[in-house]
Amino acid sequence: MSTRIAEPPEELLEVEAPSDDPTEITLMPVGRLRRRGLRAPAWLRGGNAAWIWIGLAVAATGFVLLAIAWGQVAGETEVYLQVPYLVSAAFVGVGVLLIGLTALVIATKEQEAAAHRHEVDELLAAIDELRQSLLETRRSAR
Amino acid sequence: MKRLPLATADPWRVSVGLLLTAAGAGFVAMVLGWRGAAARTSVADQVPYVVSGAMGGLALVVFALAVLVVQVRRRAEALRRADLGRVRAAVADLAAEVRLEAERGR
Repeated sequence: MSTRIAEPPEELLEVEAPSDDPTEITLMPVGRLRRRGLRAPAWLRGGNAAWIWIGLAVAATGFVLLAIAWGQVAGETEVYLQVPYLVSAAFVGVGVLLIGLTALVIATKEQEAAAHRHEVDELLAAIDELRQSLLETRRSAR
Repeated sequence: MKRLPLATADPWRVSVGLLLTAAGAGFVAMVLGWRGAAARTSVADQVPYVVSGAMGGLALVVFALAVLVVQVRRRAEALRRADLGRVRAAVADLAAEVRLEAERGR
């Protein structure tokens, strides 16, 4: 029984067709767009370790907001005076904490992806080296 | 065919932009909830602002960030599959060369 392997999905974008025919649609790999200068600055790219520290700092800010909310709420004896602190500092603090954690999760995921891409590039280089040595052997056998 | 500007041509960028906007809207809802609650002196009047503004805003932030994480994971998975496709193509090329060499050797 033969098994058919699905084609790998390629990240493509519809961009301006460079050919003479204006009705023709050209699909261009996203990487080429990025090489055209649409890439984010190096420190903003996902794989950068700075994002981990940014995520931790934002999460810490969320905890600080929660601590401020607790301090203010504890200093009031009337519930109606406590509620605004609950909304402005506690809820916002939880939101900021979640933003920081999300940044942390995405940053670590991007770092893993960058490491994976590096491994794949190394594997491709090894395969290419093997192919070159095979061609070399064929040439020398002639 | 109408062409999209490059910034909006990438669906992933568009989705990230929309999700970050939704998260920002969640914080705006929290600020509105705080303003409404701070302007009232009765807890019974404040509770609707807490529920709609603060809890609703927080729910929007949580939803947007969760979908953002899902989107990032999906993109990483698509890139991983594309990488594996490159490896598979390279191995197929190599196998073809080896097969050719074996046929010549016979």
